[in-house]
Amino acid sequence: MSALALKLVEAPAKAEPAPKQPVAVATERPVTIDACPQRGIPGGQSPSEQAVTPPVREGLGEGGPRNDRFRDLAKVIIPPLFGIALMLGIWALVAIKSGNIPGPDKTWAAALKLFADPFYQNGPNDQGIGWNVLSSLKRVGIGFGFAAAIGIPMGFLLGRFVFMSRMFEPIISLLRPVSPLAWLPIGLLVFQKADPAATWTIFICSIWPMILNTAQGVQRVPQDYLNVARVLGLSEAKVMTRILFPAVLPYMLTGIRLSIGTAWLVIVAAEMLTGGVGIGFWVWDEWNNLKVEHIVIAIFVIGIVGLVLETLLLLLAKRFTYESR
Amino acid sequence: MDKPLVKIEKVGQTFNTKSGKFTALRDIDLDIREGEVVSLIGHSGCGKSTLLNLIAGLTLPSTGVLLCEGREIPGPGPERAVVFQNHSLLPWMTCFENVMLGVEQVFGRKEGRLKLKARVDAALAMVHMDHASGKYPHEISGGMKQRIGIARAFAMEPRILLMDEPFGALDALTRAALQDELNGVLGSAAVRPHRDDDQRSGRHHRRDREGRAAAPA
Ligand SMILES: Nc1ncnc2c1ncn2[C@@H]1O[C@H](COP(=O)(O)OP(=O)(O)OP(=O)(O)O)[C@@H](O)[C@H]1O
Ligand SMILES: [Mg+2]
Repeated sequence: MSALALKLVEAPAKAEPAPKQPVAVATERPVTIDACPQRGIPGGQSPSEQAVTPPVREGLGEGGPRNDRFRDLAKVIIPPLFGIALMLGIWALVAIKSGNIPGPDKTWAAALKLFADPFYQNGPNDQGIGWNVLSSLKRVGIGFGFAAAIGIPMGFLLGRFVFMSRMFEPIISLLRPVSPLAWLPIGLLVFQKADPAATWTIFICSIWPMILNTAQGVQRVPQDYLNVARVLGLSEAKVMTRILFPAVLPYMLTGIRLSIGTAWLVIVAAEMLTGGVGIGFWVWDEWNNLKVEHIVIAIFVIGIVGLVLETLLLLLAKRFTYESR
Repeated sequence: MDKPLVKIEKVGQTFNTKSGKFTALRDIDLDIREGEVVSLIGHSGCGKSTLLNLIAGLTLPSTGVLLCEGREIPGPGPERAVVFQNHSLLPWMTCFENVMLGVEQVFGRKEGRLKLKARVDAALAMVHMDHASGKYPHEISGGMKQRIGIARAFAMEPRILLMDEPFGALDALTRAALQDELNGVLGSAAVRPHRDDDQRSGRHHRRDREGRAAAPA
Protein backbone atom coordinates (compact mmCIF):
# COMPACT_ATOMS: atom_id res chain seq x y z
CA MET A 1 0.00 0.00 0.00
CA SER A 2 1.78 3.00 -1.21
CA ALA A 3 -0.91 5.50 -0.40
CA LEU A 4 -0.61 4.66 3.21
CA ALA A 5 -1.62 7.93 4.78
CA LEU A 6 -4.35 8.47 2.30
CA LYS A 7 -5.77 5.08 3.04
CA LEU A 8 -5.25 5.59 6.70
CA VAL A 9 -7.41 8.62 6.67
CA GLU A 10 -10.10 6.79 4.82
CA ALA A 11 -9.73 3.52 6.56
CA PRO A 12 -11.90 3.97 9.66
CA ALA A 13 -14.96 5.00 7.75
CA LYS A 14 -14.62 2.40 5.07
CA ALA A 15 -13.26 -0.55 6.96
CA GLU A 16 -15.33 -0.45 10.11
CA PRO A 17 -18.43 -2.26 8.95
CA ALA A 18 -16.69 -4.54 6.52
CA PRO A 19 -14.46 -6.82 8.66
CA LYS A 20 -17.16 -8.08 11.01
CA GLN A 21 -18.91 -10.45 8.68
CA PRO A 22 -16.23 -11.77 6.34
CA VAL A 23 -13.88 -12.42 9.25
CA ALA A 24 -16.34 -14.85 10.71
CA VAL A 25 -16.43 -16.75 7.43
CA ALA A 26 -12.67 -16.82 7.21
CA THR A 27 -12.25 -18.44 10.60
CA GLU A 28 -15.15 -20.83 10.26
CA ARG A 29 -14.15 -22.28 6.92
CA PRO A 30 -10.83 -23.95 7.63
CA VAL A 31 -12.44 -26.24 10.18
CA THR A 32 -14.61 -27.66 7.48
CA ILE A 33 -11.88 -27.92 4.91
CA ASP A 34 -9.33 -29.27 7.31
CA ALA A 35 -11.41 -32.10 8.61
CA CYS A 36 -12.09 -34.19 5.53
CA PRO A 37 -8.78 -34.90 3.81
CA GLN A 38 -6.89 -35.73 6.97
CA ARG A 39 -9.01 -38.59 8.13
CA GLY A 40 -9.98 -39.76 4.70
CA ILE A 41 -13.66 -39.88 5.49
CA PRO A 42 -15.41 -42.13 3.01
CA GLY A 43 -17.47 -40.43 0.34
CA GLY A 44 -21.18 -40.62 1.10
CA GLN A 45 -21.29 -37.91 3.75
CA SER A 46 -22.80 -34.55 3.14
CA PRO A 47 -20.68 -31.47 3.68
CA SER A 48 -22.52 -30.58 6.86
CA GLU A 49 -21.76 -33.95 8.41
CA GLN A 50 -18.14 -33.56 7.50
CA ALA A 51 -18.02 -30.24 9.20
CA VAL A 52 -19.04 -31.86 12.46
CA THR A 53 -16.41 -34.56 12.16
CA PRO A 54 -13.36 -33.03 13.87
CA PRO A 55 -14.38 -33.80 17.47
CA VAL A 56 -15.35 -37.32 16.39
CA ARG A 57 -11.79 -37.76 15.19
CA GLU A 58 -10.59 -38.20 18.78
CA GLY A 59 -13.54 -40.38 19.71
CA LEU A 60 -12.85 -42.80 16.89
CA GLY A 61 -9.32 -43.23 18.24
CA GLU A 62 -10.01 -46.76 19.54
CA GLY A 63 -10.59 -48.72 16.36
CA GLY A 64 -9.39 -47.14 13.12
CA PRO A 65 -6.38 -45.03 14.04
CA ARG A 66 -4.63 -47.80 15.93
CA ASN A 67 -4.81 -50.01 12.86
CA ASP A 68 -3.48 -47.06 10.92
CA ARG A 69 -0.60 -46.67 13.31
CA PHE A 70 0.30 -50.32 12.92
CA ARG A 71 0.20 -49.97 9.20
CA ASP A 72 2.41 -46.87 9.33
CA LEU A 73 4.85 -48.66 11.61
CA ALA A 74 4.91 -51.68 9.32
CA LYS A 75 5.59 -49.41 6.37
CA VAL A 76 8.60 -47.98 8.17
CA ILE A 77 9.98 -51.24 9.49
CA ILE A 78 9.38 -53.85 6.84
CA PRO A 79 11.47 -52.44 3.95
CA PRO A 80 14.64 -52.08 6.06
CA LEU A 81 14.13 -55.63 7.32
CA PHE A 82 14.02 -56.81 3.74
CA GLY A 83 17.20 -54.87 3.03
CA ILE A 84 19.02 -56.39 5.96
CA ALA A 85 17.84 -59.88 5.05
CA LEU A 86 19.04 -59.35 1.49
CA MET A 87 22.44 -58.21 2.71
CA LEU A 88 22.78 -61.19 5.06
CA GLY A 89 21.73 -63.53 2.26
CA ILE A 90 24.31 -62.20 -0.19
CA TRP A 91 26.94 -62.22 2.54
CA ALA A 92 26.21 -65.84 3.45
CA LEU A 93 26.29 -66.81 -0.24
CA VAL A 94 29.62 -65.10 -0.81
CA ALA A 95 31.00 -66.71 2.35
CA ILE A 96 29.99 -70.18 1.19
CA LYS A 97 31.37 -69.65 -2.31
CA SER A 98 34.69 -68.09 -1.31
CA GLY A 99 35.46 -70.30 1.63
CA ASN A 100 37.81 -67.92 3.47
CA ILE A 101 35.32 -65.12 4.20
CA PRO A 102 33.43 -65.83 7.42
CA GLY A 103 29.66 -66.03 7.09
CA PRO A 104 27.12 -64.30 9.33
CA ASP A 105 26.94 -67.22 11.73
CA LYS A 106 30.68 -67.42 12.34
CA THR A 107 30.95 -63.66 12.65
CA TRP A 108 28.08 -63.54 15.13
CA ALA A 109 29.75 -66.14 17.31
CA ALA A 110 33.05 -64.23 17.19
CA ALA A 111 31.23 -60.99 17.99
CA LEU A 112 29.60 -62.50 21.06
CA LYS A 113 33.02 -63.52 22.34
CA LEU A 114 34.56 -60.17 21.45
CA PHE A 115 31.89 -58.06 23.11
CA ALA A 116 31.82 -60.23 26.22
CA ASP A 117 34.85 -58.24 27.37
CA PRO A 118 35.36 -55.15 25.21
CA PHE A 119 37.58 -53.37 27.73
CA TYR A 120 40.36 -55.82 28.54
CA GLN A 121 43.94 -54.66 28.51
CA ASN A 122 46.92 -56.93 27.80
CA GLY A 123 49.71 -54.48 27.15
CA PRO A 124 49.70 -51.63 24.61
CA ASN A 125 49.17 -53.76 21.52
CA ASP A 126 46.43 -56.05 22.76
CA GLN A 127 43.40 -54.19 24.06
CA GLY A 128 39.67 -54.72 23.89
CA ILE A 129 37.70 -53.34 20.95
CA GLY A 130 36.08 -50.80 23.26
CA TRP A 131 39.43 -49.17 23.99
CA ASN A 132 40.27 -49.11 20.32
CA VAL A 133 37.05 -47.38 19.40
CA LEU A 134 37.42 -44.92 22.26
CA SER A 135 40.96 -43.96 21.38
CA SER A 136 39.95 -43.42 17.76
CA LEU A 137 37.09 -41.25 18.93
CA LYS A 138 39.45 -39.32 21.16
CA ARG A 139 41.73 -38.53 18.21
CA VAL A 140 38.76 -37.47 16.12
CA GLY A 141 37.51 -35.32 18.99
CA ILE A 142 40.82 -33.53 19.51
CA GLY A 143 41.62 -33.00 15.84
CA PHE A 144 38.10 -31.90 15.21
CA GLY A 145 38.08 -29.57 18.21
CA PHE A 146 41.14 -27.75 16.93
CA ALA A 147 39.62 -27.59 13.46
CA ALA A 148 36.44 -26.04 14.88
CA ALA A 149 38.36 -23.59 17.04
CA ILE A 150 40.28 -22.32 14.02
CA GLY A 151 37.89 -23.05 11.17
CA ILE A 152 34.76 -21.38 12.51
CA PRO A 153 36.35 -17.98 13.22
CA MET A 154 38.14 -18.25 9.87
CA GLY A 155 34.82 -18.94 8.21
CA PHE A 156 33.32 -15.83 9.80
CA LEU A 157 36.20 -13.70 8.57
CA LEU A 158 36.02 -15.14 5.08
CA GLY A 159 32.29 -14.65 4.94
CA ARG A 160 32.33 -11.13 6.31
CA PHE A 161 35.27 -9.63 4.44
CA VAL A 162 35.60 -10.00 0.69
CA PHE A 163 39.30 -9.29 0.94
CA MET A 164 39.82 -12.23 3.26
CA SER A 165 37.81 -14.59 1.12
CA ARG A 166 39.70 -13.53 -2.02
CA MET A 167 42.95 -13.94 -0.13
CA PHE A 168 42.26 -17.43 1.14
CA GLU A 169 40.23 -18.78 -1.72
CA PRO A 170 43.19 -19.93 -3.85
CA ILE A 171 44.87 -21.58 -0.87
CA ILE A 172 41.74 -23.45 0.14
CA SER A 173 40.89 -24.51 -3.40
CA LEU A 174 44.40 -25.87 -3.79
CA LEU A 175 44.60 -27.75 -0.51
CA ARG A 176 41.07 -28.99 -0.10
CA PRO A 177 41.16 -31.76 -2.72
CA VAL A 178 44.36 -33.21 -1.24
CA SER A 179 43.79 -36.42 0.68
CA PRO A 180 44.43 -35.72 4.35
CA LEU A 181 46.63 -38.83 4.45
CA ALA A 182 49.15 -37.00 2.31
CA TRP A 183 49.62 -34.74 5.32
CA LEU A 184 50.44 -37.64 7.60
CA PRO A 185 54.20 -37.66 6.94
CA ILE A 186 54.33 -33.93 7.64
CA GLY A 187 52.56 -34.59 10.91
CA LEU A 188 55.00 -37.37 11.76
CA LEU A 189 57.91 -35.10 10.94
CA VAL A 190 56.63 -32.19 13.01
CA PHE A 191 55.26 -34.07 16.01
CA GLN A 192 57.76 -36.96 15.98
CA LYS A 193 55.03 -39.24 17.30
CA ALA A 194 52.32 -41.32 15.70
CA ASP A 195 49.44 -40.26 17.89
CA PRO A 196 49.47 -36.48 17.27
CA ALA A 197 50.22 -37.17 13.61
CA ALA A 198 46.95 -39.07 13.25
CA THR A 199 45.15 -36.26 15.07
CA TRP A 200 46.80 -33.82 12.69
CA THR A 201 45.29 -35.56 9.65
CA ILE A 202 41.90 -35.30 11.31
CA PHE A 203 42.47 -31.61 11.86
CA ILE A 204 43.37 -31.14 8.20
CA CYS A 205 40.37 -32.98 6.84
CA SER A 206 37.91 -31.34 9.24
CA ILE A 207 38.93 -27.77 8.76
CA TRP A 208 37.86 -27.29 5.13
CA PRO A 209 34.15 -28.07 5.46
CA MET A 210 34.12 -26.01 8.64
CA ILE A 211 35.59 -22.91 7.01
CA LEU A 212 33.62 -23.18 3.81
CA ASN A 213 30.23 -23.85 5.38
CA THR A 214 30.60 -21.14 7.98
CA ALA A 215 31.71 -18.65 5.32
CA GLN A 216 28.78 -19.60 3.14
CA GLY A 217 26.42 -19.20 6.08
CA VAL A 218 27.74 -15.73 6.77
CA GLN A 219 27.39 -14.74 3.14
CA ARG A 220 23.85 -16.02 3.05
CA VAL A 221 22.59 -14.10 6.05
CA PRO A 222 19.56 -12.35 4.56
CA GLN A 223 20.20 -8.69 3.81
CA ASP A 224 16.96 -7.95 5.68
CA TYR A 225 18.48 -9.03 8.97
CA LEU A 226 21.55 -6.93 8.36
CA ASN A 227 19.34 -3.98 7.48
CA VAL A 228 17.49 -4.44 10.75
CA ALA A 229 20.83 -4.40 12.53
CA ARG A 230 21.81 -1.20 10.75
CA VAL A 231 18.54 0.58 11.43
CA LEU A 232 18.61 -0.40 15.09
CA GLY A 233 22.22 0.76 15.18
CA LEU A 234 23.56 -2.43 16.71
CA SER A 235 27.24 -2.54 17.60
CA GLU A 236 29.49 -4.91 15.68
CA ALA A 237 29.69 -7.19 18.72
CA LYS A 238 25.92 -7.35 18.95
CA VAL A 239 25.60 -7.96 15.23
CA MET A 240 27.94 -10.91 15.72
CA THR A 241 26.19 -12.47 18.71
CA ARG A 242 22.55 -11.59 18.10
CA ILE A 243 22.29 -11.70 14.31
CA LEU A 244 25.20 -13.36 12.55
CA PHE A 245 25.81 -16.21 14.96
CA PRO A 246 22.21 -17.47 15.16
CA ALA A 247 21.76 -17.04 11.43
CA VAL A 248 24.95 -18.93 10.65
CA LEU A 249 24.53 -21.66 13.24
CA PRO A 250 22.61 -24.06 10.96
CA TYR A 251 25.32 -23.76 8.29
CA MET A 252 28.00 -24.24 10.89
CA LEU A 253 26.34 -27.39 12.12
CA THR A 254 26.24 -28.70 8.56
CA GLY A 255 29.97 -28.07 8.36
CA ILE A 256 30.49 -29.88 11.64
CA ARG A 257 28.45 -32.83 10.45
CA LEU A 258 30.40 -33.11 7.19
CA SER A 259 33.69 -32.77 9.05
CA ILE A 260 32.91 -35.45 11.57
CA GLY A 261 31.80 -37.73 8.77
CA THR A 262 35.06 -37.42 6.85
CA ALA A 263 37.09 -37.44 10.05
CA TRP A 264 35.63 -40.80 10.95
CA LEU A 265 36.46 -42.07 7.45
CA VAL A 266 40.00 -40.79 7.60
CA ILE A 267 40.90 -41.93 11.10
CA VAL A 268 40.63 -45.60 10.13
CA ALA A 269 43.09 -45.16 7.28
CA ALA A 270 45.42 -42.95 9.31
CA GLU A 271 45.59 -45.45 12.16
CA MET A 272 46.36 -48.27 9.77
CA LEU A 273 49.44 -46.30 8.82
CA THR A 274 50.48 -45.04 12.24
CA GLY A 275 49.73 -48.06 14.42
CA GLY A 276 49.15 -47.75 18.17
CA VAL A 277 45.70 -48.15 19.64
CA GLY A 278 42.65 -47.43 17.56
CA ILE A 279 40.02 -49.11 15.47
CA GLY A 280 41.97 -48.65 12.24
CA PHE A 281 45.06 -50.16 13.72
CA TRP A 282 42.97 -52.96 15.18
CA VAL A 283 41.64 -53.83 11.73
CA TRP A 284 45.17 -54.04 10.40
CA ASP A 285 46.32 -56.07 13.37
CA GLU A 286 43.51 -58.58 12.94
CA TRP A 287 44.40 -58.84 9.26
CA ASN A 288 47.93 -59.74 10.27
CA ASN A 289 46.47 -62.31 12.69
CA LEU A 290 44.22 -63.51 9.85
CA LYS A 291 41.12 -63.12 12.01
CA VAL A 292 38.88 -62.13 9.15
CA GLU A 293 35.68 -62.33 11.18
CA HIS A 294 37.08 -59.60 13.43
CA ILE A 295 37.62 -57.41 10.40
CA VAL A 296 34.00 -57.89 9.41
CA ILE A 297 32.98 -57.01 12.97
CA ALA A 298 35.18 -53.91 12.79
CA ILE A 299 33.41 -52.85 9.61
CA PHE A 300 30.09 -53.03 11.42
CA VAL A 301 31.44 -51.24 14.47
CA ILE A 302 32.89 -48.43 12.37
CA GLY A 303 29.62 -48.13 10.50
CA ILE A 304 27.53 -48.03 13.65
CA VAL A 305 29.75 -45.46 15.37
CA GLY A 306 29.61 -43.29 12.26
CA LEU A 307 25.84 -43.62 12.18
CA VAL A 308 25.55 -42.66 15.84
CA LEU A 309 27.78 -39.61 15.37
CA GLU A 310 25.76 -38.50 12.38
CA THR A 311 22.45 -38.98 14.18
CA LEU A 312 23.60 -37.11 17.26
CA LEU A 313 24.73 -34.18 15.18
CA LEU A 314 21.50 -34.19 13.19
CA LEU A 315 19.56 -34.02 16.44
CA LEU A 316 21.79 -31.17 17.60
CA ALA A 317 21.26 -29.35 14.32
CA LYS A 318 17.51 -29.78 14.62
CA ARG A 319 17.59 -28.41 18.12
CA PHE A 320 19.41 -25.25 17.04
CA THR A 321 17.80 -24.59 13.71
CA TYR A 322 15.28 -21.83 13.97
CA GLU A 323 12.03 -21.98 12.09
CA SER A 324 12.46 -19.52 9.30
CA ARG A 325 8.88 -18.82 8.38
CA MET B 1 9.07 24.79 14.39
CA ASP B 2 8.83 25.39 10.73
CA LYS B 3 12.17 23.89 9.91
CA PRO B 4 11.62 20.56 8.21
CA LEU B 5 12.63 17.42 10.04
CA VAL B 6 13.78 15.83 6.84
CA LYS B 7 14.84 17.83 3.84
CA ILE B 8 15.47 16.17 0.52
CA GLU B 9 17.23 18.29 -2.06
CA LYS B 10 17.74 17.40 -5.71
CA VAL B 11 18.24 13.78 -4.85
CA GLY B 12 18.93 11.31 -7.60
CA GLN B 13 19.73 7.63 -7.45
CA THR B 14 21.29 5.60 -10.22
CA PHE B 15 22.01 1.90 -10.07
CA ASN B 16 24.73 0.15 -11.99
CA THR B 17 23.09 -2.75 -13.71
CA LYS B 18 24.35 -5.23 -16.26
CA SER B 19 22.71 -3.23 -19.02
CA GLY B 20 24.31 0.03 -17.93
CA LYS B 21 23.24 2.79 -15.60
CA PHE B 22 19.66 2.86 -14.48
CA THR B 23 18.20 6.07 -13.09
CA ALA B 24 15.65 5.22 -10.44
CA LEU B 25 15.23 8.70 -8.99
CA ARG B 26 15.94 12.13 -10.44
CA ASP B 27 15.67 15.59 -8.89
CA ILE B 28 13.57 14.72 -5.89
CA ASP B 29 12.74 17.60 -3.57
CA LEU B 30 10.69 16.99 -0.48
CA ASP B 31 10.35 18.47 2.99
CA ILE B 32 8.87 16.49 5.83
CA ARG B 33 7.89 18.44 8.92
CA GLU B 34 7.54 17.23 12.46
CA GLY B 35 4.26 15.42 13.02
CA GLU B 36 3.42 15.20 9.37
CA VAL B 37 2.21 12.08 7.63
CA VAL B 38 3.48 11.86 4.10
CA SER B 39 2.78 9.10 1.69
CA LEU B 40 4.58 8.33 -1.50
CA ILE B 41 2.34 7.17 -4.27
CA GLY B 42 3.36 5.72 -7.57
CA HIS B 43 3.44 2.74 -9.85
CA SER B 44 5.27 -0.35 -8.89
CA GLY B 45 8.95 0.13 -9.58
CA CYS B 46 8.83 3.93 -9.69
CA GLY B 47 11.27 4.27 -6.83
CA LYS B 48 9.27 4.52 -3.63
CA SER B 49 11.35 1.97 -1.77
CA THR B 50 14.48 3.54 -3.17
CA LEU B 51 13.57 6.91 -1.71
CA LEU B 52 12.60 5.36 1.59
CA ASN B 53 15.90 3.52 1.80
CA LEU B 54 17.65 6.81 1.18
CA ILE B 55 15.81 8.51 4.04
CA ALA B 56 16.51 5.52 6.24
CA GLY B 57 20.17 5.82 5.30
CA LEU B 58 20.37 2.24 4.13
CA THR B 59 21.65 3.55 0.82
CA LEU B 60 23.35 6.82 -0.06
CA PRO B 61 22.17 9.02 -2.93
CA SER B 62 24.09 9.29 -6.20
CA THR B 63 23.38 13.00 -6.39
CA GLY B 64 21.83 15.60 -4.11
CA VAL B 65 21.59 15.60 -0.33
CA LEU B 66 19.24 14.34 2.35
CA LEU B 67 19.20 16.25 5.60
CA CYS B 68 17.72 15.13 8.90
CA GLU B 69 17.44 17.90 11.49
CA GLY B 70 19.85 19.95 9.44
CA ARG B 71 22.55 17.32 9.21
CA GLU B 72 23.34 15.14 6.25
CA ILE B 73 22.14 11.58 6.69
CA PRO B 74 25.30 9.49 6.95
CA GLY B 75 23.67 6.11 7.44
CA PRO B 76 20.87 4.41 9.29
CA GLY B 77 20.04 5.55 12.77
CA PRO B 78 17.49 4.75 15.45
CA GLU B 79 15.89 8.19 15.11
CA ARG B 80 14.64 7.02 11.71
CA ALA B 81 12.92 3.73 12.43
CA VAL B 82 11.84 1.51 9.56
CA VAL B 83 8.94 -0.90 9.34
CA PHE B 84 10.00 -3.28 6.63
CA GLN B 85 7.75 -4.58 3.93
CA ASN B 86 8.39 -8.19 4.91
CA HIS B 87 8.39 -7.64 8.68
CA SER B 88 12.02 -8.76 9.01
CA LEU B 89 11.66 -10.12 12.51
CA LEU B 90 14.57 -12.23 13.64
CA PRO B 91 13.25 -15.79 13.71
CA TRP B 92 15.45 -16.96 16.59
CA MET B 93 14.05 -14.37 18.98
CA THR B 94 10.65 -14.18 20.59
CA CYS B 95 8.43 -11.21 19.82
CA PHE B 96 9.48 -9.68 23.10
CA GLU B 97 13.17 -10.10 22.33
CA ASN B 98 12.72 -8.68 18.85
CA VAL B 99 11.24 -5.50 20.24
CA MET B 100 13.74 -5.47 23.09
CA LEU B 101 16.66 -5.54 20.67
CA GLY B 102 15.87 -2.02 19.49
CA VAL B 103 14.78 -0.70 22.86
CA GLU B 104 17.98 -1.92 24.46
CA GLN B 105 20.05 -0.21 21.84
CA VAL B 106 18.33 3.15 22.22
CA PHE B 107 17.62 3.30 25.95
CA GLY B 108 19.88 0.59 27.37
CA ARG B 109 22.54 2.99 28.53
CA LYS B 110 20.27 5.30 30.47
CA GLU B 111 17.61 3.01 31.87
CA GLY B 112 17.40 -0.08 34.03
CA ARG B 113 16.22 -3.49 33.00
CA LEU B 114 12.73 -3.03 34.44
CA LYS B 115 12.16 0.21 32.63
CA LEU B 116 13.28 -1.31 29.34
CA LYS B 117 10.93 -4.20 29.88
CA ALA B 118 8.09 -1.80 30.59
CA ARG B 119 8.82 -0.03 27.33
CA VAL B 120 8.67 -3.28 25.37
CA ASP B 121 5.48 -4.36 27.10
CA ALA B 122 3.90 -1.01 26.37
CA ALA B 123 4.85 -1.21 22.70
CA LEU B 124 3.45 -4.72 22.42
CA ALA B 125 0.26 -3.69 24.17
CA MET B 126 -0.08 -0.78 21.80
CA VAL B 127 -0.37 -3.12 18.84
CA HIS B 128 -2.46 -5.58 20.89
CA MET B 129 0.22 -8.23 20.80
CA ASP B 130 1.02 -8.44 24.51
CA HIS B 131 -0.48 -11.93 24.56
CA ALA B 132 2.13 -13.18 22.10
CA SER B 133 5.24 -11.68 23.63
CA GLY B 134 6.76 -15.10 24.33
CA LYS B 135 6.01 -16.51 20.91
CA TYR B 136 8.44 -16.88 18.05
CA PRO B 137 7.73 -15.17 14.72
CA HIS B 138 6.95 -18.45 12.97
CA GLU B 139 4.21 -19.10 15.53
CA ILE B 140 2.19 -16.00 14.66
CA SER B 141 0.38 -14.88 11.54
CA GLY B 142 1.64 -12.47 8.90
CA GLY B 143 -0.44 -9.60 10.19
CA MET B 144 0.75 -10.24 13.72
CA LYS B 145 4.34 -10.15 12.52
CA GLN B 146 3.75 -6.79 10.92
CA ARG B 147 2.32 -5.53 14.18
CA ILE B 148 5.42 -6.68 16.03
CA GLY B 149 7.49 -4.90 13.40
CA ILE B 150 5.52 -1.73 14.04
CA ALA B 151 5.93 -2.18 17.78
CA ARG B 152 9.67 -2.61 17.34
CA ALA B 153 9.90 0.60 15.35
CA PHE B 154 7.64 2.54 17.69
CA ALA B 155 9.34 1.40 20.87
CA MET B 156 12.52 3.11 19.76
CA GLU B 157 10.69 6.44 19.89
CA PRO B 158 12.01 7.56 16.53
CA ARG B 159 11.71 11.11 15.21
CA ILE B 160 10.37 9.69 12.01
CA LEU B 161 8.76 6.38 11.21
CA LEU B 162 9.41 5.02 7.74
CA MET B 163 7.02 2.37 6.53
CA ASP B 164 7.55 0.61 3.24
CA GLU B 165 4.19 -0.84 2.33
CA PRO B 166 4.00 -2.44 5.75
CA PHE B 167 0.78 -4.17 4.82
CA GLY B 168 1.64 -4.96 1.23
CA ALA B 169 1.93 -8.69 1.78
CA LEU B 170 -1.34 -9.02 3.64
CA ASP B 171 -4.84 -9.82 2.51
CA ALA B 172 -7.35 -7.02 2.18
CA LEU B 173 -9.18 -7.78 5.43
CA THR B 174 -6.12 -7.86 7.63
CA ARG B 175 -4.79 -4.82 5.87
CA ALA B 176 -7.91 -2.81 6.59
CA ALA B 177 -7.88 -3.87 10.22
CA LEU B 178 -4.21 -3.05 10.65
CA GLN B 179 -4.54 0.31 8.98
CA ASP B 180 -7.27 1.06 11.42
CA GLU B 181 -5.09 0.02 14.25
CA LEU B 182 -2.13 1.99 13.00
CA ASN B 183 -4.32 5.04 12.80
CA GLY B 184 -5.19 4.60 16.43
CA VAL B 185 -1.56 4.11 17.31
CA LEU B 186 -0.48 7.22 15.45
CA GLY B 187 -3.16 9.10 17.31
CA SER B 188 -1.99 7.84 20.65
CA ALA B 189 1.56 8.81 19.85
CA ALA B 190 0.41 12.30 19.08
CA VAL B 191 -1.05 12.86 22.52
CA ARG B 192 2.03 11.72 24.37
CA PRO B 193 3.34 14.54 26.53
CA HIS B 194 6.64 15.22 24.85
CA ARG B 195 5.07 15.05 21.47
CA ASP B 196 2.09 17.23 21.98
CA ASP B 197 3.39 19.53 19.30
CA ASP B 198 2.60 16.70 16.91
CA GLN B 199 -0.05 17.54 14.44
CA ARG B 200 -0.40 14.77 12.00
CA SER B 201 -1.90 15.82 8.77
CA GLY B 202 -2.00 13.64 5.75
CA ARG B 203 0.00 15.10 2.97
CA HIS B 204 0.97 13.10 0.01
CA HIS B 205 3.48 13.49 -2.60
CA ARG B 206 3.00 12.32 -6.10
CA ARG B 207 5.65 11.10 -8.41
CA ASP B 208 5.43 10.19 -12.01
CA ARG B 209 6.75 7.09 -13.64
CA GLU B 210 10.08 8.59 -14.63
CA GLY B 211 10.91 9.15 -11.01
CA ARG B 212 10.53 12.91 -11.25
CA ALA B 213 8.86 14.51 -8.30
CA ALA B 214 5.66 16.29 -9.10
CA ALA B 215 4.20 19.06 -6.99
CA PRO B 216 2.74 17.81 -3.73
CA ALA B 217 -0.97 17.46 -4.08
N1 LIG C 1 19.77 -2.43 -6.27
C1 LIG C 1 19.21 -2.12 -7.44
N2 LIG C 1 19.89 -2.30 -8.59
C2 LIG C 1 19.34 -1.98 -9.79
N3 LIG C 1 18.12 -1.47 -9.93
C3 LIG C 1 17.37 -1.27 -8.84
C4 LIG C 1 17.87 -1.59 -7.53
N4 LIG C 1 16.92 -1.28 -6.63
C5 LIG C 1 15.90 -0.82 -7.32
N5 LIG C 1 16.15 -0.79 -8.65
C6 LIG C 1 15.26 -0.33 -9.68
O1 LIG C 1 14.80 0.93 -9.32
C7 LIG C 1 13.43 1.09 -9.59
C8 LIG C 1 12.70 1.50 -8.35
O2 LIG C 1 12.66 0.43 -7.42
P1 LIG C 1 11.85 0.51 -6.07
O3 LIG C 1 12.11 -0.73 -5.34
O4 LIG C 1 12.18 1.77 -5.38
O5 LIG C 1 10.34 0.55 -6.58
P2 LIG C 1 9.02 0.74 -5.75
O6 LIG C 1 8.45 2.05 -6.15
O7 LIG C 1 9.28 0.55 -4.32
O8 LIG C 1 8.11 -0.41 -6.32
P3 LIG C 1 7.09 -1.36 -5.56
O9 LIG C 1 5.83 -0.58 -5.40
O10 LIG C 1 6.90 -2.50 -6.49
O11 LIG C 1 7.72 -1.77 -4.27
C9 LIG C 1 12.96 -0.24 -10.15
O12 LIG C 1 12.82 -0.11 -11.53
C10 LIG C 1 14.05 -1.20 -9.82
O13 LIG C 1 14.21 -2.12 -10.87
MG1 LIG D 1 8.87 -1.09 -2.91
